[in-house]
Amino acid sequence: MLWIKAFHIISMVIWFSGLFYLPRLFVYHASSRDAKMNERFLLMEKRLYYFVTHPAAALTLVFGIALIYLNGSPILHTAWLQLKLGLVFLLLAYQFYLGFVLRSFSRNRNRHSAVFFRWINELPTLALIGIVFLVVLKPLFS
Amino acid sequence: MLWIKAIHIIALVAWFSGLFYLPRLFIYHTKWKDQVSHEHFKIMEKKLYYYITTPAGVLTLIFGFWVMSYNFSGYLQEPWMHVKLTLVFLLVIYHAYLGKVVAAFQQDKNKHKMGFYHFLHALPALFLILIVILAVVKPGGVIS
Repeated sequence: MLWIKAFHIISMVIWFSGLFYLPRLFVYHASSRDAKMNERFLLMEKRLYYFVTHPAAALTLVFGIALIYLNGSPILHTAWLQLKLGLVFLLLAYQFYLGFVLRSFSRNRNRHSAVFFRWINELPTLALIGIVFLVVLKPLFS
Repeated sequence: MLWIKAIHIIALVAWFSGLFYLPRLFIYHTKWKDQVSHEHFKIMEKKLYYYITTPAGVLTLIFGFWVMSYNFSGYLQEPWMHVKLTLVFLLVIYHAYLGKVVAAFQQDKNKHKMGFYHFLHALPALFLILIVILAVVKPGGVIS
């Protein structure tokens, strides 16, 4: 079980690296007016989204679900895990929204400013803080 | 103590996000050599290194040693901790080296080819895998 936990954490770190840098790329992309550069940003975004963020998210979920399974169903009744799963759900919604933004960039139809992306760039940080605190401080929540 | 451990983990995630993406930027920077790209990548590298990666690395180390300070002699008797600290030491050297590369790009003095940065890009994943396994599985350890 500890090995699965370790792989869950490793995939989570890779997942967050994508969630952190993708909106940062959008910030630069939204403020660039150079056609060639925009093409390059799009390539960088697509690679980060489809080849890093998505697979890492899938692995994090698979290992996470395996951990719940191995722990047994009573763990699903703990408050910390319910809150954590709520945050994970929001994080997935956020990730799909990033995919939506990516498609609008690829059609040259982005309508958001760099400032907007700067703001949404803070959201995964909040989720990370909430999730890590819930997991590490779970004795306080049960 | 658990609060400190939580902050250590949060800082580590931010640190690795920088360690993962900086060499990726170097790859693109060597691939696309025109002036517009060059100027963009210079700014992106500088911001990622100085505003994210370095502060997050410093916080990870401070909070890591803080966690250790609660049971310093105990942790130092754990074999996995010796390996982990060695890996962290190597990671700090890697981090400093990335700073050297960032500075070289700033002064238009990059001497490496793309293949080199592909190699560099693979290293932090290796560190992450080993460090997390050591910290979670604690092979041969007594402290839970």
